[in-house]
Amino acid sequence: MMKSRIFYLYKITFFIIIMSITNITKADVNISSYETKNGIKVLFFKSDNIPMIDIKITFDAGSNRDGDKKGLSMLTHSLLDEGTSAKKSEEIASIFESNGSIFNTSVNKDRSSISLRSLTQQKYLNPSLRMFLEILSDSSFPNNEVNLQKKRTISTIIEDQSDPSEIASNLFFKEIYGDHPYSHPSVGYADSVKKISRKNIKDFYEKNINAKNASIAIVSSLPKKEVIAIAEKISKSLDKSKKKITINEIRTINKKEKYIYKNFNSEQAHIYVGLVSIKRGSENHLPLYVGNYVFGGSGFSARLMQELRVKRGLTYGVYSYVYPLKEEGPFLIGIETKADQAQKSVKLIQEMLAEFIKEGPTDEELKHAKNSIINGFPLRIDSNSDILNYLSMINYYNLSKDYLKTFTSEISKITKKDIINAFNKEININSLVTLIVGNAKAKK
Amino acid sequence: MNRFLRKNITNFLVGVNVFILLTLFLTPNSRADVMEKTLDNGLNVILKKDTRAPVVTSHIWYKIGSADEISGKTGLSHALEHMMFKGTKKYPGGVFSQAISKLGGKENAFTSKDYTAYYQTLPSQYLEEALKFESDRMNNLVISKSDFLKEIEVIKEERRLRTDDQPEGIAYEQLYASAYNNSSYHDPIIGWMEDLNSMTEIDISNWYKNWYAPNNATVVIVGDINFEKTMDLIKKYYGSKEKVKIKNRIIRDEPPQFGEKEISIQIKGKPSYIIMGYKVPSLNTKDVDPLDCYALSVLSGILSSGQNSRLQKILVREKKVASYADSGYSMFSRNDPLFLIDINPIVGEKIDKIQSELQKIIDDLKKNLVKKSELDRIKAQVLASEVYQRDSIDYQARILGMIKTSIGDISLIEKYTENINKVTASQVREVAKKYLVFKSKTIVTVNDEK
Repeated sequence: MMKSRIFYLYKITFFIIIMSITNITKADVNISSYETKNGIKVLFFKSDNIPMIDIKITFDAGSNRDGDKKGLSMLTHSLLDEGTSAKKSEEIASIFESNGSIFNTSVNKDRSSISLRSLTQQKYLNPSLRMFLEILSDSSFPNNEVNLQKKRTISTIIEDQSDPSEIASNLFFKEIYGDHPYSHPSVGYADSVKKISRKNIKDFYEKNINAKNASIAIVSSLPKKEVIAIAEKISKSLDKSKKKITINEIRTINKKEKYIYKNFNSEQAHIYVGLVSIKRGSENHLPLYVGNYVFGGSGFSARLMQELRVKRGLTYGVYSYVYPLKEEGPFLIGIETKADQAQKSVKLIQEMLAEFIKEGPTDEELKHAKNSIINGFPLRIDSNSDILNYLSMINYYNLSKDYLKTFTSEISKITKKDIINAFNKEININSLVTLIVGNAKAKK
Repeated sequence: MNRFLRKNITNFLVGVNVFILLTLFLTPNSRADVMEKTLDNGLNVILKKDTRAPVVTSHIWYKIGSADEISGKTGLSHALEHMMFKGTKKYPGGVFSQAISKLGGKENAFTSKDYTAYYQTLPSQYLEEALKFESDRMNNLVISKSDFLKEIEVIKEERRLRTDDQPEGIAYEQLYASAYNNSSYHDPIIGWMEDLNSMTEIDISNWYKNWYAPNNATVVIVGDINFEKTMDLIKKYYGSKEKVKIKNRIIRDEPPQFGEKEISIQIKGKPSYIIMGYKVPSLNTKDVDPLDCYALSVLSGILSSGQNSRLQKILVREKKVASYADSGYSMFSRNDPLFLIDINPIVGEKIDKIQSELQKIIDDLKKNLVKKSELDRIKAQVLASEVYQRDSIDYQARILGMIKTSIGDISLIEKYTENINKVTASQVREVAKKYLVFKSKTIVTVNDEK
């Protein structure tokens, strides 16, 4: 987060639009699907112009699988390239770096991923791919690397405790999710990370970084035949354990209205208003998405930005999003403002939300939002990395291809009534959690 | 994004690091894909074809940034950038933004020390719409007092968010303010809060009239375009704009520095942090061999690109004193920039100890030759990123706009890889000896309040 600071530029807007809809329109004629011999689903998009390959393996192994070892998934993923039986951390880095390839991992609440970007020339791709496969099948988690990574992680967690925006977002999720595994930050807590052992990490790896738990997305200029061969190799390196993945039990989340204020010595108050809302696959997803687009999800044109920033100068950034997960994901509104404007802003936001739930968008707003989403379609799939992320998402959430093809027409069908119904059903104004982190002036 | 994951994203091409990477890795343009022209009124035009998707990004870069500001009036360029979204007589209020949004486009703007840029990315068939609005606000902006009074509050919130509540932001601001006595790099882009408090809409209006003109701007368009048709559109919307006499830029040369500057900041309850900078040349610096700049770029790569880079390897892995360490250098600055190094210590580690470890790393670079494997690593990364960067039209447009605006010559992009490849181990040692010296160094440390 902070590291880009030394070269940042000032941006006028503050776009946080979390894409919660998958779009592949006409482009999907080029998407091929394939299943490897041991049953891993593969989606491939051929992108001819750039001689590169992007591979992303997605696992059902996000931080919701941490159990009581909060931070386990992220720690495990961060250690994957820190040693195999045959190679030390720096040898691994050296193979990727000297071939110009990029190894990456990511962890969110549901999913994790391991990815590789490489040039397609054999002399670069072959060694990079071999290394990648070795990590998948034989990461060894040396003790010294585990200890170093834990130390760095804990240090970062402690640092974040002095950052009001981190404090606010961590606390907000804790409040809306309670005991649910979505409640903790993926990085974990200092105490919980301290307790993670090498054995915990190895077990997590064996159990989760596994063919039974994986899907593959590839975008490349390589011909399909070569891509299939690569997918089979990946599939084979992941075929290391027959252990069955336990399915998470479905947990109920207690939704209750709450107001929380936490004192923190900063000039701005960091505010969240929201609640746990829908699962992916919910019939209300699209109406909520379009409604939220009008309310707070479309940057400058959204109501929140217009009312709080443009008309009143209360903030640099205010936004809202709906983020469906495998289980119920959050709907939230976020804003930062000078402490003595916190209460005023909260009141305004709550009134605006109540009105929106009741009245929905105006006809003009709805028309605008639909046009914007439909016209903007090509922008969402205009790079290999965008397409890769969509393929990964389609795989992970089992989204049907037909659904994707009809996406724009589905959007165009949404009515004001659908939106009002969806907001009424999924966003109960009487269960909102309001959280303010800031100095004494921000308090009621 | 949590810093924790940075280990895996110190590699290039990840959004947050875009501008670090600019210092090192550029995509060459094959001549057939790029067209450059200057209209009679002085407007520079750069077009680049990328037909992978039916999408286009349309930028305009003005050669005006905080480096052109003077004491007491800091933050004007950035504040003007905000006001540019307030509408014109013809298209008042948010008409422009609403139109772009309706077409499914994205738009934004950014201000740096050296330039101010605006862009719209949208389906290519709507390019004309973007040009219509953007050209209109080049000289028809309405700057009203009531809009200004609201917007300046937004800007103050932005300052609180990015600087005043962020120890690393404060340290960054203090680094520049301390390193430079006279150069306008001394002042923050967003401006000092005190200057924001005294700024008026008249200041903004004067600033706008002085600097926003075709002969102080570059239009960059990258995407699924036809050169001829696009040129016609640009002529249609910009061709009749009149050249304005741009007032002489105030040159604020930096006097010599007499020794190392050390600034210690104490903030209660905040983690410690180190950021330092050496004054170094850019490609604009007179009487300096441009190869020095390329060697400094390679040097930055040796220090911080990848897990086997010196800072990572020594401070993070061997000595275990830092959770993160980074360096950066941009040879495409208008004025002499800083060669930056910043470090997040492991909580509880002593700042002094980290500083002395860092000094050992610098001293070693001045004394010993870097290894061939280190140079090869940088070269491989440059080669690869040339290819990877083609994946983003916006990134391509930014590089073209930045280099044209700051340096003036986009053919530098074509020679970039070649020049990086020419750099030898002894040149790296030479620039370390010449530039990473106490007399050009400023270091800022953040400590918990005693």
